[in-house]
Amino acid sequence: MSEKVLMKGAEALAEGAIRAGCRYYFGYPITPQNETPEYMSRRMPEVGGRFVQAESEIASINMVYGAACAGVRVMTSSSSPGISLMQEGISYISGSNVPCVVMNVMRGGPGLGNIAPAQADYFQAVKGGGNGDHRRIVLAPSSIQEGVDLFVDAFDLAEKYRMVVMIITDGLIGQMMEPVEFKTTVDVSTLVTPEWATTGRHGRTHPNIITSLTLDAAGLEKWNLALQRKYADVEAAESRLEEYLMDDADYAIIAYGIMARIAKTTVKLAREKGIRLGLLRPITVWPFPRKQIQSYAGRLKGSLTVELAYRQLFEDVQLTLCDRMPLGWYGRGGGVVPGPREILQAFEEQLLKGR
Amino acid sequence: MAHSLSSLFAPRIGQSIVIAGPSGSGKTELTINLALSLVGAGPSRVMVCDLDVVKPYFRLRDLMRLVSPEQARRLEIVEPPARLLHADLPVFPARLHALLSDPEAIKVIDVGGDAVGAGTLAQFRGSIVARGYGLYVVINTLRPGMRDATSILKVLDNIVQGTGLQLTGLVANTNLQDETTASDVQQGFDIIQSAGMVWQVPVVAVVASHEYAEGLERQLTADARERLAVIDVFNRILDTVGSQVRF
Repeated sequence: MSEKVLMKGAEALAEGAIRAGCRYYFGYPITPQNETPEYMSRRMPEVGGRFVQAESEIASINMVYGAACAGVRVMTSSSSPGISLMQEGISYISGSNVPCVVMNVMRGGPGLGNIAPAQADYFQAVKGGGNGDHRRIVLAPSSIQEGVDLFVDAFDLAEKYRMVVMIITDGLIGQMMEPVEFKTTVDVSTLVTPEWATTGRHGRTHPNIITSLTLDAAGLEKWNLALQRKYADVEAAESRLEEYLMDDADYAIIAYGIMARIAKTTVKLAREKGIRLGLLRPITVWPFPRKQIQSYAGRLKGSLTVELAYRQLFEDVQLTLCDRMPLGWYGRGGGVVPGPREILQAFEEQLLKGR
Repeated sequence: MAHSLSSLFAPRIGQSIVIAGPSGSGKTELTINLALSLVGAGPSRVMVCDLDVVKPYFRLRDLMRLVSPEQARRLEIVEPPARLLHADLPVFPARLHALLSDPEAIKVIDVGGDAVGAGTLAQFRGSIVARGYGLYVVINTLRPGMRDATSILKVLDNIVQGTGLQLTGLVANTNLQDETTASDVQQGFDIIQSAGMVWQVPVVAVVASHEYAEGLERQLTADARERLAVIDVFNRILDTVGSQVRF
């Protein structure tokens, strides 16, 4: 029998985290990702890990903070309103230079919104959220399989840079079922507790202290400059972009996550009509694959940004391409998902008509 | 030749067919296909009851557009009021007891959510038992933790305890969507049949979707082949949130 299993996105991503060596999960249920904590509650005891259903998202993220300080692979997951509640903790974790993974299975907003798929937390993940100058590496898988595979990278990146890695996905990927395989299993016995972890003094001359509090301004500025150097290193080394049928492309759709997957069908439909359309899919939305996308300026006659939000990804595309090509935009909100033909129609109206 | 679900289940008028199973095993797909098969097969009214309280993303109402006007008159969808369909709340429709007691209709009841979900059925047990019922458990052995008879037996224990009903039969739905091979289907059937033998219940149907059913029949053993039914898979997530039905 095949090595693949049929899994719901939110379950498969939980298993992906466990295969990536995650042994601590703290969370609070919210649709459309309830299958993640449910799955974790069953699997963590089987693999010698710990699952705690906290009393709130605020408690969850602070439990994550505590475990992260101990240098273990720890994560939480939630959906949009729950992630909003976690912003303070994410800022503290960022300010403390400790690693963790946070997954947001985005749903319709703002406010309580609904449980349908959306990408409207892009600003929150990429630019906004908690207080202070901090960044998160933000990974945006466009299939269940890619999400599973990216979990290993997520924990590696979090530990390498001692920062928060967010995986942003949506209710469609969270709730759909697909065959998946688990190609990598991290042997947790090979994971080394970092020397900065607050796990006891073990004969060291001074204790490890982790805090985001620095009272003197000069000291905090110095701390901030160190964070900024780290973020610059991440921007230089870690941006990722998938280029689909771009070799001969005259035009590109720019989209991430589930919308990129739907837009691939648009690309095929356009090519059937003889339009040389390709797809640029940021896999990291922070750092945004700015240089890779800029390399298409002068080579393309235009691009259409497509998202389940209102001009959020588009803002980064505008900052990246400015006026170096015509920029179209098409988005839907509130949990409505457009099909490939609607995207094609928007592309034709905005970029082909009258040219 | 593949068989129709209505002939494989062959319910009496007035009877309830209770469809249970682990999360993601294909209960709703089977419920929809069985209801459409029953409404196409005979003059009887068919009532589809959605008692799955743990799948707020899906709704059964969409299947009404798949039937002829004449069939639509005999097909009744029993589910929470439209405004609460995606409310993420475990709501049952009013009048459910009365509907389940209807002696003139065949009831197909979709019960969700493993043993916990099955437990919600217990309050309706009296109405279901009174008119006669069959309890069927759908299994996909390619779901995580479902690869062997021991795991399946644990699920059967939980569902029978949760519903307080007696087990009638099993439905083999082993698949990896369009990546399913004939050997996946055969091995799934063999495992499910061996679990059924412990409970002394038959595998009443082996279901396969059109995505991979072509040529499947001649690659299965006679045992599996004589229970084979080809079903349609409805992409319910996109029905609900997609602005187009098909991508």
